Amino acid sequence: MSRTTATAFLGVFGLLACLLVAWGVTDILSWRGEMARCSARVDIDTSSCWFVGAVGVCALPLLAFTRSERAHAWIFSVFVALFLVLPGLAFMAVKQPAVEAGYTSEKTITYIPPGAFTLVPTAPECRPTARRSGPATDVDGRSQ
Amino acid sequence: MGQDFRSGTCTIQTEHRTVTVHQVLLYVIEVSDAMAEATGVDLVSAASAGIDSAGAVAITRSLGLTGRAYIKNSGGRSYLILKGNPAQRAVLKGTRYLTTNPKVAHIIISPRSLARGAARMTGIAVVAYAALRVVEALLRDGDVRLTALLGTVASDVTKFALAATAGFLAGAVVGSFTTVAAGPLVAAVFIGVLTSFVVDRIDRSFGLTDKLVRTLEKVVDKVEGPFEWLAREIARFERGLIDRAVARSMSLSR
Repeated sequence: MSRTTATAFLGVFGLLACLLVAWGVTDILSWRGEMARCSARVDIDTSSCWFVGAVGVCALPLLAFTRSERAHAWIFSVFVALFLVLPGLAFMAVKQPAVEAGYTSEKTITYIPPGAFTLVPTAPECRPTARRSGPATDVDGRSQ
Repeated sequence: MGQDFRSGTCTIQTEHRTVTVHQVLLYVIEVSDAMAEATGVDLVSAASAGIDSAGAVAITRSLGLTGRAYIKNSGGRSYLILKGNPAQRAVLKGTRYLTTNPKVAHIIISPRSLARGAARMTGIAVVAYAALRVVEALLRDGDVRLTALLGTVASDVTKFALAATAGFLAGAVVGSFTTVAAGPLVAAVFIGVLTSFVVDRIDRSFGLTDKLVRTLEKVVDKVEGPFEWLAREIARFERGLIDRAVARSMSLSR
């Protein structure tokens, strides 16, 4: 594969990875927002936590900027570290406010394997983790 | 030991117990399902990732963790040039080997070999997924028209092929930029896994497999429709003939 073609592919990989990270971060922020507003039901998918780990792939285009083998080794190390650590942190960023606000799921929420879960508040009163940005709603979606 | 395999009876018999082949297949399906539930990776994907990881481990053991290698053509022959501290390398203490040398054959990763590997794994996945799903469908015995079976197998294989292609591309692209030996395989494994998560998520979010199964059912309905009409018409014609014959015989007997 020629260097130009490889650079193009690397750019595409980096761009797709950035979009993936944006998808994951948007999802996580949206779920946290819903939990903070005490929504009656929050649908989450923990694959978004893994999408955050794609930050490592965003770093791969850096390979094209240097021929230093030591730098390449560092880039790979950072790639692997980010891919393994960030999904765990992202998962905590979802699970922690859910637990604090008293949300529970029928199935145990896991990010290995990633899956879709529905969270409902079971505590008598929803305890938002952040400042409420909107009115709380009951199961039917009516304002309380 | 008293072990005995009786062909034709689908039974594996030992001193202590007898196991039928369909029990073995059930165990395999249960193991695959349990793995998928516990880790998100089923038996076929785990086998694929395991083979790739074994390759990465073999390279790391041969070249050391920070081992670097590249291929240089000189005098019409191609050589694998090894860089880095030879003390970190378990086997390959030298710095230059012919690429045809059996000692180094397993660590030369070209785009062609990556593509061959991805194609081979996809082929294995097609057979394995098809076998697992067919046995599952046969034992469940609820999918008479086999549309769910076809849809699920097609979806599984497509998802696997997409992940394998992404992994191959990542490996090939990274391999053309770096001489860090384990780099292409690491990129292939991680990007392959990430791609499988993405396609699974897209499938879950948009219900693509269910839509495929429903489409297949509609197609089968359309194909079956004329035949069902023909069968009904033939049955009506037969009934008419029988009624007429009975009526004629009754009138003759009077």
